[in-house]
Amino acid sequence: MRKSVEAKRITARPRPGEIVIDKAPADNLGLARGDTVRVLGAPLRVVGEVSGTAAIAGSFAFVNRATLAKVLHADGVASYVLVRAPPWRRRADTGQCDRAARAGRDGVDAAAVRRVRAARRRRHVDRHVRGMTLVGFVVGIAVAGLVAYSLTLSQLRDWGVLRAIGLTARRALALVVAQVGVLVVWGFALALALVFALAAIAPRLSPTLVLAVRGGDVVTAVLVACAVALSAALIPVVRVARLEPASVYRRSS
Amino acid sequence: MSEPLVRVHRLSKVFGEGETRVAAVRDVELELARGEIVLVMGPSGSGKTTLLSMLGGLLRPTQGEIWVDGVDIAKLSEHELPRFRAHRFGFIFQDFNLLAALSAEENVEVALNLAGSRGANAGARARELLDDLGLGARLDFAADQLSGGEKQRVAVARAIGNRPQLILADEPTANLDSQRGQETMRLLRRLANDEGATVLIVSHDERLRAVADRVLWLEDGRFKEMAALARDPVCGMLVALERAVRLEWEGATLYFCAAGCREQFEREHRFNSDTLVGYSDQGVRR
Repeated sequence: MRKSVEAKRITARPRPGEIVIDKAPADNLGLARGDTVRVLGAPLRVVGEVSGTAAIAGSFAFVNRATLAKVLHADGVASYVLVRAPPWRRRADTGQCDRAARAGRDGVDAAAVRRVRAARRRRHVDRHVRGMTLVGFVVGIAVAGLVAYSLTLSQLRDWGVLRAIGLTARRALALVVAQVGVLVVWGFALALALVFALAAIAPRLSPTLVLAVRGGDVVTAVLVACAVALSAALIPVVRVARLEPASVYRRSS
Repeated sequence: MSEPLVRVHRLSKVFGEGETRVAAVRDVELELARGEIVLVMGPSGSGKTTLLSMLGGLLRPTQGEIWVDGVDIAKLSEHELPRFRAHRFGFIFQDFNLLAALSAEENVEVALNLAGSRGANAGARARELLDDLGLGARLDFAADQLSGGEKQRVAVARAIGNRPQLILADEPTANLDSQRGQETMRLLRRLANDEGATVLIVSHDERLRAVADRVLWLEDGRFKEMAALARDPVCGMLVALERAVRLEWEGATLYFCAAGCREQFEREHRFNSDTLVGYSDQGVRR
């Protein structure tokens, strides 16, 4: 699941000398609306809260541009660029921003360029995440396959008995795949329940831990689970397909 | 006389090739009448189980014909064989081979399902069979919760559920105590009498001779005449006359499986010739 860092709800728009902070650090610091917080020596009054920006490394706070210039002692310099665009335009807009920053237009300075580059780094990180997802997929297949193989192996005599008393090879193979499918579905359901439970419990344990579960991710995980089930069933299917019904006469001891 | 249920002609099975070639069954001829119980005996490695596997359509013969009720099962396809087995054959195994994850009732139902009987009909038939075999109170018991005798009765119920024409039993009494063994023997006799099933038993258990209509001796993959066999008076084994170790004793010929048995006999009977009388019916050819 990807963690989405975005402000979900901002309860006020900060004016000069005011600040909107995330609910998690506000709770940690015991701050409420109307309190004053010192940022780089400048006292700012808390006028609202935002949720969903807190992470382990920190959180976002919002002030207006004039306040920021005063706090940073850097009048006329934009140190942060917030870009929001539809997903299908995000890459193109980021590119435009990058070009604008290089040209020094619209008050976008080197800091903005750094942010854009950071966004690119995040995309790079995304590739690593995809790599890790692939590794997870392979490990999932290995674990599910091993469990399915052990299960099939422990039931090999039963499969032999079923073949002897009239189960066709084709039906036996379908049953093996179904058995592995059930195994993976149960595993997936358990993992999903665990994720939802963690998503509910984690913010209570530590407000900086946010786990977002999106519908699209669940659908992707279901598709991946199906692929894992089919892959994991391969070896057990081959083992059962090669099983001779006459093996049922071999002594177990 | 009615047509035999099973007719086997020049049946052979060879395993391996070249130096590892083993002929497990060689040119066997056999006929089994309907409702007949035939006991096949023989030493270990004589080909009994291979023969049973081929007769049950579990193993393809290398050569020969196996006619069961007018169908040569050696020529049936892999697709046709399972259906034929489900409808015509009942299997009873030495290790019972019940499905461990299922209850007694479900074990019987599975066999019925494989022959096409499903739902309430299969359930009712399974309960009726188990009840008839005295397991009415054990329907929901898992296989590993049953005693050896109970497991064997569930296995018998599974074997006869689809009213098969031929029941193939591999050492059906081997893992049972003497009382349970007797019960299984009576059950097999009842199946032949009441259901008209032909029962082929492969076993080392001498007690099964009591329920068999015929006893065949298989050795080195071939049937041998029981008349040409004698019992070793020391170990009790049946031995082929032409290969037995002989001893002339007080005007009679004794047959032993090995020189060791003969020496033991000589030691024990050197000063006590009365003991010989006890074995004279089986081990002595006068």
